Amino acid sequence: MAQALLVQPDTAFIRRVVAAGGGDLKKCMQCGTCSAVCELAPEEAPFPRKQMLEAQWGLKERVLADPALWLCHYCGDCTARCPRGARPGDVMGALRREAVRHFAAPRWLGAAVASPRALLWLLLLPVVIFAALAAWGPKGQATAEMEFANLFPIPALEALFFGVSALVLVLFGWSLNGYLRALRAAGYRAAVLPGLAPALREILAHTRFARCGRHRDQRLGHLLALWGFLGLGLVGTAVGIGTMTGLMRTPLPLGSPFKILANLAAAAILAGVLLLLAVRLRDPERRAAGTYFDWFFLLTLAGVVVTGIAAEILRLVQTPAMYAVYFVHLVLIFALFLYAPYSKFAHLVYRTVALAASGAGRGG
Amino acid sequence: MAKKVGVYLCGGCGIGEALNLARLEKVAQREAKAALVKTHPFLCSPEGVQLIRDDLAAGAVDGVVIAACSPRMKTEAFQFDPRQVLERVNLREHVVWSHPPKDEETQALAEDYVRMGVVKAQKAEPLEPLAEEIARAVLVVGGGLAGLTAALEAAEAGYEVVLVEKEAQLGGFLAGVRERFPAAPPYREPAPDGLRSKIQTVSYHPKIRVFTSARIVRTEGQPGAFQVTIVKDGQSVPVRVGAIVMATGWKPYDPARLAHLGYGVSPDVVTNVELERMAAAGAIRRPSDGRAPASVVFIQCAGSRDPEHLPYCSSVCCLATLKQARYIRRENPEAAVYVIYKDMRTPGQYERFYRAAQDDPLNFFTKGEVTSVERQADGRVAVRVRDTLLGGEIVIPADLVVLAAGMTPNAADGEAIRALEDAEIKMVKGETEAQRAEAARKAEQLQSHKGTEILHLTYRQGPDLPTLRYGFPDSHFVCFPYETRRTAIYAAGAMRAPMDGARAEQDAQGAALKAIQAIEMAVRGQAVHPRAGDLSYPSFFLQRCTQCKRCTEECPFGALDEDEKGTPKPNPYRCRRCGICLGACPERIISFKNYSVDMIASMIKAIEVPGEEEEKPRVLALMCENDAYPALDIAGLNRLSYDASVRVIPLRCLGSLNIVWIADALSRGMDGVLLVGCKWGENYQCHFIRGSELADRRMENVKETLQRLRLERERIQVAELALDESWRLPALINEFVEKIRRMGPNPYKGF
Amino acid sequence: MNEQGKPLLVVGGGIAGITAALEAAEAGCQVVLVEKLPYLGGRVVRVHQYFPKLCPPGCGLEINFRRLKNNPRVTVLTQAELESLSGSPGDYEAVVKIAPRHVSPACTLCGACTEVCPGERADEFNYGLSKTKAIYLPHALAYPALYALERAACPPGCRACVEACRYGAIDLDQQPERKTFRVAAVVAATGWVPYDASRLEGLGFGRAPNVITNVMMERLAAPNGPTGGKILRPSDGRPPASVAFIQCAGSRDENHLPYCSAVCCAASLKQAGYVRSLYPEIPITIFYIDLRTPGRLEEFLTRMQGETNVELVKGKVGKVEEEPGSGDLILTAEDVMTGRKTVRKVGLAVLATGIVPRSEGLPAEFARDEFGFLADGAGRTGLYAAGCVRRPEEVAASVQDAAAAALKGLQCVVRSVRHG
Repeated sequence: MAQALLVQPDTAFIRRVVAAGGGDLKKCMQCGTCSAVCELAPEEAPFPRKQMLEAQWGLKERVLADPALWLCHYCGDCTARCPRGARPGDVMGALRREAVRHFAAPRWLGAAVASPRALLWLLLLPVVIFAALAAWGPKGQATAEMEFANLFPIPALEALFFGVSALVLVLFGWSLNGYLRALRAAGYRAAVLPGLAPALREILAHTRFARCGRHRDQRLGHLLALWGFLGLGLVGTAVGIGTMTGLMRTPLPLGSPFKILANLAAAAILAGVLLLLAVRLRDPERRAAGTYFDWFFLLTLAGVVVTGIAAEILRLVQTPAMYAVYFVHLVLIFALFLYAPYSKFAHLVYRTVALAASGAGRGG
Repeated sequence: MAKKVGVYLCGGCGIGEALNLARLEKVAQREAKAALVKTHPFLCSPEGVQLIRDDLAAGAVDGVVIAACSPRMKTEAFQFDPRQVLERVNLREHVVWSHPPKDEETQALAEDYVRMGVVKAQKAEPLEPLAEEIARAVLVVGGGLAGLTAALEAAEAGYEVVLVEKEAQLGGFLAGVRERFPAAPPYREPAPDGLRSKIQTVSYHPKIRVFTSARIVRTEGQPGAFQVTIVKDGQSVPVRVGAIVMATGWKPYDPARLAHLGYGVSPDVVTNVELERMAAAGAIRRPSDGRAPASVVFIQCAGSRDPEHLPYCSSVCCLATLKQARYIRRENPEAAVYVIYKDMRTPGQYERFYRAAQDDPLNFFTKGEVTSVERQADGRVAVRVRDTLLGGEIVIPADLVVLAAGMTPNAADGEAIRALEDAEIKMVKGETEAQRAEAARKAEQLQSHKGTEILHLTYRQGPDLPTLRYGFPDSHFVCFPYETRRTAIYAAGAMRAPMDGARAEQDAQGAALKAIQAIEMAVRGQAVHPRAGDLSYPSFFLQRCTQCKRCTEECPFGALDEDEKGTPKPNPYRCRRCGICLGACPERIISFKNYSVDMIASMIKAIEVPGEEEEKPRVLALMCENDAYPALDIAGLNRLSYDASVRVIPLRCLGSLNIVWIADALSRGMDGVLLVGCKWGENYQCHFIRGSELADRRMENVKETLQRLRLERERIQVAELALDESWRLPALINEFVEKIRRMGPNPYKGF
Repeated sequence: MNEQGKPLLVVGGGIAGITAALEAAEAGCQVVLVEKLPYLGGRVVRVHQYFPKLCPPGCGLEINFRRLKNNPRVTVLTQAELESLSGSPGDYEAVVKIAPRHVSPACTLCGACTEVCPGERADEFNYGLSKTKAIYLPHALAYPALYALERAACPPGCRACVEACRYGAIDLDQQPERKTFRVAAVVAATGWVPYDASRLEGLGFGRAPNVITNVMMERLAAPNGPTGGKILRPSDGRPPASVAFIQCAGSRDENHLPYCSAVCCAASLKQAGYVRSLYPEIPITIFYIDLRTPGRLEEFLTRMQGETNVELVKGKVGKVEEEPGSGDLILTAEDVMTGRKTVRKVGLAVLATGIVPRSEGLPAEFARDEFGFLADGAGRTGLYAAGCVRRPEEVAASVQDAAAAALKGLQCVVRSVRHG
């Protein structure tokens, strides 16, 4: 680092971090206890002490491009042991939120997802789309049994979700492009792709999570949610392709392997989310865990699963309420997907990239 | 002289079993010519003590020798009239607890100690305390926070106070301060200065006379009776005081020397004191354009903790910066404040103040080393810092840079001023060209001390307090922060050591107490610390004085002045009773009623030296009473054993060692002399400053004596010993005795 | 004039209390000095050497004890505590409860009792690192110079010491007593206790024997300590191959002591010096947040920085783990200046535990801050504090404090004469 850093603190950034759950950020006196007790912090570039300072000094570009933000699993060891009560764990959480927001593209959409005031509008979009689809979309042949095809044209629905997924991928790519450029600028020049495989292995196994001291029970919840999510993704994609190509028809029989997998996955997510909720209720002090950013994601995810299961049950008992619940279910899935690059959902992607980038080591 | 010395032998604690008490009685009676000898199995019991009291009351004895345990033990039990002659012979710790029982050498040791004790008592005289008219008034020099506090607190204790301030107004540094450091829980907010009310109280206090715009031109006399001449408005005012508190405060380190930190580069680089004055007078503005600064960098340790400038920490600058950062943040909520520190030093509850300052979102702290401070083209100042916590070099563009400049004392170095005067005289009167040139060099070096006098003491050893380190006249002693080298003159506040206001107030109270105490001790004719309560004092048989000036030069407390011829003029109230003058005097004309050259010499003569054929060496050990002697006691308590051929005589200070004693011992046939004093050097432990070092130096003169007597130099050894090193003593003694044995007996035995 | 006044009560016989008592007494006041332990000297008498001079505390205590022995104005009560306080400034009534020592002033220190005593007790003087007999002399410089008996450590029915004592100094049935004093003012100098290191999560104290506290280190270094001044590891009695000092062990920590204990930096630098002089080669590391050596103490820091094999690492130790088998300790910290984690194996780790004010037993009239320190200016007239119960501070400052408190006390004494 030959170049001296010209200090121009981004004071708005400091205030945002403070507002986003990093309220005790400034209390840090740089003792380094946090980095020492963190089981996840690597020896060469431990965190979160340095990130605390950079955040304190409003060095936004530098700290947000730091992969360490995503190596943190919010175990809470640092926060519990911080002699100053600066709650580094919460600050890291707030910084992650700021990173998602900072790299969001398009920026306005990121800002909208981050703002509780835009929530209504964000939900109104899928409501309108699905209402339109229900009102004007071609229906399948009416059957004796009540089923969702009576409300929505299923293949159109699937096509819509495939379209949304594609759009989400584009948006993620766009946001990630910014992130990757920032990583490069910050000196993390190593190729990301070769690092992806070990990163994915790590994520699927959650080995780093297992090293957490406190809140180790988070790991199970998180693991269940992740695997459940992957299961649902798999089933969703298969069934989507199946219905669109006419090879499959929903609802699938309960005995179908797809259905079994889907139900298991949903149960896993539900269990995972409940576990995670239990952990945070046990430690009400965790500030980042109490922010809108956090709750938006968790509640959307929980909502998706709960409405999904409810819709399925209502369908099985053949109650007309199933349509309303299904409608909500679809709205929530839409929100979960489309807003993924700007919500906490994005951590799945950022963490993967950060792991890959840092796994390759710091370049330059 | 005690004519009728009674010897009281104790048989307890194993003394009776280990020694032949009947023989000891005989020695005391027949050889030492004690008027009366009594033995008791348990002398410190009420009955035992009553025995002595009865004899004293009946007039059967006028001097008492108690041959029992160490004089450090049962002191309260064996307390009689403090003026009375009382001698303790240590038969327990130094004899029976450290040597084999029923042994001839052990018995001989005890017998020698009894002879020595008796002769010392016979030579001693009852004490007559000093009793002069003592002024119950305190002079306080300096009208800042510490001075005001000392004055007020001494007055509140009922003493008259004279307060002298050189400025026109009272208040000192604090008068230009907006707020003070937090003083009360929860220690997060600065405190109001509270100065105005203190000044009011002092100004109208019936016991305090305030002299502002005044200075002291002369301080003569001694504790209890200082004659101070104050000049105010051209008028001389004489005052008589008993003790003095110096509280002349501090001045900031000269910022002109801080060019490397940008002082002078731009008007917008200021010191913390300049900033404080600005804040106290109104608002904080950039000197260059009068605008409120939006970015302020504080550079900590500007001068302090820097071997090129002030090698010490000024103790308050971190707190001052936290306080001043708060001013800036209050005045301009958008202003950013950067603090570049080496270590943040906010001890004790002040840590809360640091944390409170951290909470401010626009205070930025980092450790770092400032490498340059430069004016930019836009008029702002760029501060470049390396080794920051941010992981590299940073540059901060600042509207205002504040140098947290350190504290230097407003003190005069009395000894340096004296040395300068001496050098100036020698420049003219030096005998050789080389001497005159050397004196000129020295005078040049000391030039900065010229005209710095504050007290103008008429002491032979300089007109002000001697300083300890870096110009602060601090105490050298951890346990005795008011142990001053000029009796009854106490330094307090930031002139004594770098400290904050709260501590300076506390310090001023402490110094006021010491001043009052010095007065009260003078009233009772007692010595002050470390021989507190001692009623003895030295007297000088001046008819035989040769004006060699050794005593006046060596007195560590400046107690002795000189007349033109160099005859010492004793000031007994300044005296701390160490006896260094007694040791220095080649004519042996200085003596205390209970401690004199003759007394110790007689003790040495009382030691029975066996003939050469007996192969029983005899070694004299002169030991410092405060460290080595107690250490030997502890060795006894722990039943550590050592050679019985050593005869120990405690000295008030090893510096009171008169070399005639060594000559006496050797010419009487003793085989060696061991001198055990406290540690000397930079961290000396001598409460009389240089006692053991002086003793060591006097050994140079002894060399001649040895040469004359054709004796080996190794027969004399000087050792340093700390009080906690009793475990070393047996080896120290045994090795010395072994060496002496190898050298063979002193050829003067039997002469 | 001060002689006729009511006495001043000084609670606590550590360096601050001794000094307050003596300074007031030499200024002419009558003083009652009350100490909880059987001997005076408090914490300092258990310190090996003072910083920065590296001189033994016994030297100053010897002078102070001599001052006490020669000053009839001071009444010293040991094993005594202030039980209650009533009245008003200038005229307080203090009730002092005195626990039985079971040994009278007739004791001559002959030691015959200890030779026959079968009972044992943990030696609080050595912070439990050694044991004494049930009847014991607290230490060689003890003032008052008397043995003391811990009755609870006596085997039932044992009278061995009573029979061995030729001076009739032992009374097994001595009862506690209460004495009432009317005093003009009270100086609280009750001192401090080291923070309970077993509460420091992750630092291993109480689990790993080679994790010790700074006060224990003083005893290990002292010639009259449990190891005769050799610094040896508690686990195996062997010299350590390396030593680490962990600063701010409890201090500057919202979870423990939110304030700075002010003396631990200089104390650890000093103790590093002990290690260095005993073992000139072994590596010494001091882990710190900020090095706080105000004033002249800075020299002390500079000197230690110049020592070879002494490393000062900015970064607080987060974890201390014991290596199974060897008893060595694995320390983890972040070296903040390099931004890297440092994991080191050391033979002995010293926790620089902080100062906790001992104010809980004092009457409620003494105002306290949130940490239990006796807050300045908030107390009533006639009630003063000195030393570490007032604020965390080094010996010299405590002594200064004591002189200041003595003056405040003296003022009350003087007023009590004037107003009767």
